[in-house]
Parts: sequence; structure tokens; C-alpha cells
Amino acid sequence: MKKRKKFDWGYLLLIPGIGYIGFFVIISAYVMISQSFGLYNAITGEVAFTLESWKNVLDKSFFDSLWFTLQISIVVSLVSIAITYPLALLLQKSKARKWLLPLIKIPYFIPGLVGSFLIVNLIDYHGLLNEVLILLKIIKEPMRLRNDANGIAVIIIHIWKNVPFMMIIMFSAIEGVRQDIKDCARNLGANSLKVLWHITLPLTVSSALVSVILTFIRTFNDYAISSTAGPMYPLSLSNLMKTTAYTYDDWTTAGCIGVLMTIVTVIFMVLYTILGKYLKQGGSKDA
Amino acid sequence: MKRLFFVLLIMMIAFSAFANGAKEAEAPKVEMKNLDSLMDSSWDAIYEQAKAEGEVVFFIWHDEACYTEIAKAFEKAYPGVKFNLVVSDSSAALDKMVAEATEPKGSFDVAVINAPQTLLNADALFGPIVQKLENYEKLDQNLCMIQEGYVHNGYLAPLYRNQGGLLYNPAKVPNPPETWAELEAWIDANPKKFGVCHPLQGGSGGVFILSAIDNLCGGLDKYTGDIDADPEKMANWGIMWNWFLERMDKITITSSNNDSLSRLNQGELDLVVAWDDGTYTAKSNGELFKDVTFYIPEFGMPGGGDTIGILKNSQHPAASLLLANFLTGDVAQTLINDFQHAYPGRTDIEVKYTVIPPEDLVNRTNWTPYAYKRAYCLGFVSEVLQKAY
Repeated sequence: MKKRKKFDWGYLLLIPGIGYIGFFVIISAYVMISQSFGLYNAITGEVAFTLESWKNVLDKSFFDSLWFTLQISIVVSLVSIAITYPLALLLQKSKARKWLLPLIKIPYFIPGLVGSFLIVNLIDYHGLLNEVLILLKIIKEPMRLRNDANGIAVIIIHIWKNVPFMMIIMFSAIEGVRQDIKDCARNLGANSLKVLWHITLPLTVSSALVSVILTFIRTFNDYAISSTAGPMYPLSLSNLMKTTAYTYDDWTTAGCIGVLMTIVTVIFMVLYTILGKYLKQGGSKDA
Repeated sequence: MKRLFFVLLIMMIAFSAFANGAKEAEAPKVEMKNLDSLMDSSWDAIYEQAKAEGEVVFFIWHDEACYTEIAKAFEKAYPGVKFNLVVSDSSAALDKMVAEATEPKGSFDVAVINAPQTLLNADALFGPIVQKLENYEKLDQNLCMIQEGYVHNGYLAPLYRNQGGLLYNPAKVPNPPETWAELEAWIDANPKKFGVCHPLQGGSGGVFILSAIDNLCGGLDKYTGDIDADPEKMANWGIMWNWFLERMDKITITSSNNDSLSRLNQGELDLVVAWDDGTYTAKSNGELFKDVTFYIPEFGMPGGGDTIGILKNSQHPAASLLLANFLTGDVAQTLINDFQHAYPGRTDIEVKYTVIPPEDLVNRTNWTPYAYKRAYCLGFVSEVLQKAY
């Protein structure tokens, strides 16, 4: 006869953590999904099941916002890693890293909205960037970068904010590559470029991908930066959701946008987990 | 010694309790009335009840400094009634008022109202109140009955009036456009130098769209009083959307009312749509250069105003009425012009601080109801922005 497993009272210690997740994540997700079907209304309390918002939400405005947000997130993630990786490599060898590294990390600790205002001042019509470019005779007329249709200002601000975030991950990853492996390669005749290509890069690519995906998710869900420096159209998905709820008073459609945003984020989280596992296996094989 | 100390302590407690009891017995008992009953009470009786209620909660979303001064003046005029000022986001507060409309007790007593239709449809407001106010006859009579094209029948009392207009840099615009044709010609001759705010992000954007409807689609009067947007009346709005589409490469869409001012100040724009009170405040704060000039063009731009309303579920009914009366009184109305730089809701108060030339007031036009605001905001996105970008 199979023995009944004794209950482990230690599991009760998980209650505060699970309770927090349950209350703030699962309940709020449930409310958002209910709202998207008209089954929850915190404002008037009137509820009735409807699919109307789901029919209406997938319009041109939503797809333009989705495409814009995806574009911005992909560009920001790729450009940020392209800046961070070589910077982290250089810093790792630099003697000045003790004071350079904390300096680079500063934007990470500045709230997005504050950073956004700071950068907007730099890229404004008569901001430092335009003035310098005019002084250098690179441009004749100041560029209109603020609220530009291509979201260049948003990309600049996100990169400014995300490079330090990536630096925290990448610097630790690069520093974690064992020196004796690199010395071995050098003893076997590899030059610096070959050490980088065959040792450092394979051992840190998993961290690079993790930081790219985390940056993507941070940028994809951003509200503050795109609301201050983003284009007039299309809006980022977070802004579209806020506008739909507060300006159009259409909380049901706002709920639909929230659900779709969560689905996209979950897809990338799953991708992140799968990729992480795959690279971990590959990484250990290589090592 | 210890025993003596305890005896003295008990005696002191007993004495203070007796003294308080005596005081309560001396104080006249106030009969607590609800808002309906208070409408027949004298202002002295209302003040007596307000003192017993102890406080009043007032909501506004802007010009905190102005209303802090008004709070001080109110507490000085009515000792014993505390003025609690709540400054927050207007949309969030509006949602809260609607959500609480069916509750017996609400969070706010008196609020500045910019969406009368939403609150009256939710049955969130008490009224009509304007006739009860001591200065009723001196208030802007149109705003006493209609706000943003919505007939509220005296549920709301005018607090201040504001006006949309054009703001320009005289060094760059020697002859500012007065007619619609002149404006078109100016925009064509000066691409990207005319700025108007996105209507979803600032009221001045709506001001310009209404001017366009007025000039291109047959006037604004036909919309007054409508609860829902009438598709027949909007049938020719395509003319106006096409007007925007044809000029989107020549017009700069800004992200807020203040963004328009900021870009004018920087020299990026030479002519923008602006509010009178926002312009005065920006000029006096040094955020705008001194020569900047505001005017209401001959082709007409809408003016309106915001009002105050008393929430039906106010927890301090007498204090609410007292505050509504005070806000429409001489002191508060003067402070509104002094600090907010807006035209007061009263027509008899001297306007010391304004950027509106008095002769331009004839060019002022009215608003359309809220339902049309929603329609033109959505239309601007779907018919102009989506097609232009």
C-alpha cells in the first residue's frame, strides 16, 4: 500500500509571496480579462457580456500602435546591445572602470519620466544637439526631433535608459569569463580578436540575449517616455490604452488592449525562458 | 503620597468631563439638514450647520496656487470650516465621482466641472443651485444654463471663463490672419510655422477644430443642446478633415497646450492656437517672451468656461453650499483673475489681468456639446492622423 505523503508545514511560509502574486497579478489579470468582455465595470458598475470591443479593438489604430511599439522595442534592444557589448569589453580592461562604471549606471536609477524630460531638452528645436550640428555646419535648419513621426526621440531616450541596465548584466557576464581559459587560448596562439570570437562571445551570448529580451519587454511596456517624446500618431500601446480608457471613456476596449499587450509580453517571456534554457545547455556543452 | 496623587488625578478628569459637558450644554444644537432642505435656509443658518460639519472637500485639477489662496480666504471668512483642497487628474476624479454616484457618501463635496454631461447623466450632481447663490444675477448667464453646449439648467455655477485664440510672435508675423482665407494663405506661405495641439492632449486643439467646423461646415449653433452626436449634422465634416489632410505637411501638431507655447517661445513656431489664461500665466512667469500677442481672429474662436457643482452625496452639504456661494463671491472671483489670470465667472468683476483685447470679444463663439467633442477627437485620429502618417 502506498504511504500517504506527510504534509510539509514549511509550505505555509510561501503564503506571503504567493498571496502577493495571487492578489496583485492573477486577480488584476482576471479583472482586465473580465473588463474586456464587459463583465467588470469599476466606474458605473453596469455589466453585460459583450464581444463588441474585441471586434472593434483590432482596427488600424491598434495595428499601427502595435507595429510602432514593436519597431521601437526591436530597434532599442538591438542598438542598446550593440553599444553595451563593446563598451563592457572596453570597460573590463580599463583602469578607470572603478569610476566609469558607476557613472554609466546613473541613467538606470533616474526615473524614465525625468530622463525623458532631460533628453527632450537636448534634442529640442533649439536644444544642444541641433545647436552643435548647426555650429558644425552639418545641418542648416534645426531638426524637429521631438514627437517626430519615426519615434527617433523615443529611441534615443530608451537607449540612454537601457544601456546602463544592459551594462549591469553584460559587465558581470564578461567579467565572469575565466581568465585561465583566455590564457590557454593565448598560449595556443590566439590573438585578442580570436579570444573574443571563440571564448568571450560564446560564453556571454546567453547573457546578451537575456538582456536584449528584458530590454525589449521594458521598452514594449513603456508609457512615460513615449507619452512625453513619442509621435502624435501612432501612439505606443500603453498610451493607446490610457487614451482609450480616460479620453474615450471606453474601459472595455482598454481592457482588450491590456490583454493583447499581456499576451505579447508573455510570448516574449516564454521565448526568453526557452532561449535561456537552450543557451544554458549549449553553453555547458561548449565549456 | 501615591494615593493622594491618584485622588487628584481622578478629580481633574472628573472636573474636565463636567466642564466639557457644561460647554456642550451651552452650545446651541444645530439641526443637520440635507441639501434639499438647505435650499430654503438662510446663509447664517447654513454657516452654523457648516461649522458643525467642520470641513468641505473641493476638487480641482489645475492652478493649485490660486485655490490655495482661495482656501485661506474662505477659512478666514468662515472660521470653523476647514477647506480641504484636492488637486488631482481630472479624468481620474471624474471617474471616481461617477463610480461613487450611487453611494450615500462621496469623496468630494464641491468640484470644478469640465464634463457636465457625464456627471449629470450619472445623476452625480445636486441642483439646480445657481438661483440660490447670492451673486446669481451677476454670473455669466449663458454659463449658468449651458456649458460646452450642454444644457445643465442651473446645476452648475460659473467659476471662470476662458477663451481660445491665436498667439503670435509680432517680429515674425507683422500682419496676423483675421479671416479663414488669410489663415489658409499664411499657413501655405509659412509651412510648419503654425502649431495646433492634438485635440486629445489639450483643449486648444479642440478650439481650432471647432473653428474649422464653424468656418467650413456651416456654423456651430446647430449642435447646441444635443445629448448625442447627430450623424446628419456631422455629415459634412469630411470637408474639414480634408482641409487638415491637405495641410498636414504645413501644420505642426503639438503634444499639449503648453507645448504649443514652448515651441513658440523657442522660435520653432510663429503662430499657435492657445488659451488666454495659459498665455497670461506663461508670460508673467517668464516662460514666454514679453512681445507675444494674443487675439481672437475675426473668423471666430470658441470660448467657454468651467463651473462648480455640488456632489449629490456630499458629506458636508451646508459647507458645500457655503463654498459654492463663496467661490462666486467678490473675494474668490477677484483672486481667480489675480492668480489664474482667467476671466471670472462673474461679469461685474474688474478684469485686471488678461491678454484678450476687449474689442476682440465680439469674435468669441460657443462650444459644441461633449458628444461632438468625442466625435471630433476620434475623427481627428481616424480621418487625419491615420491617413497623414
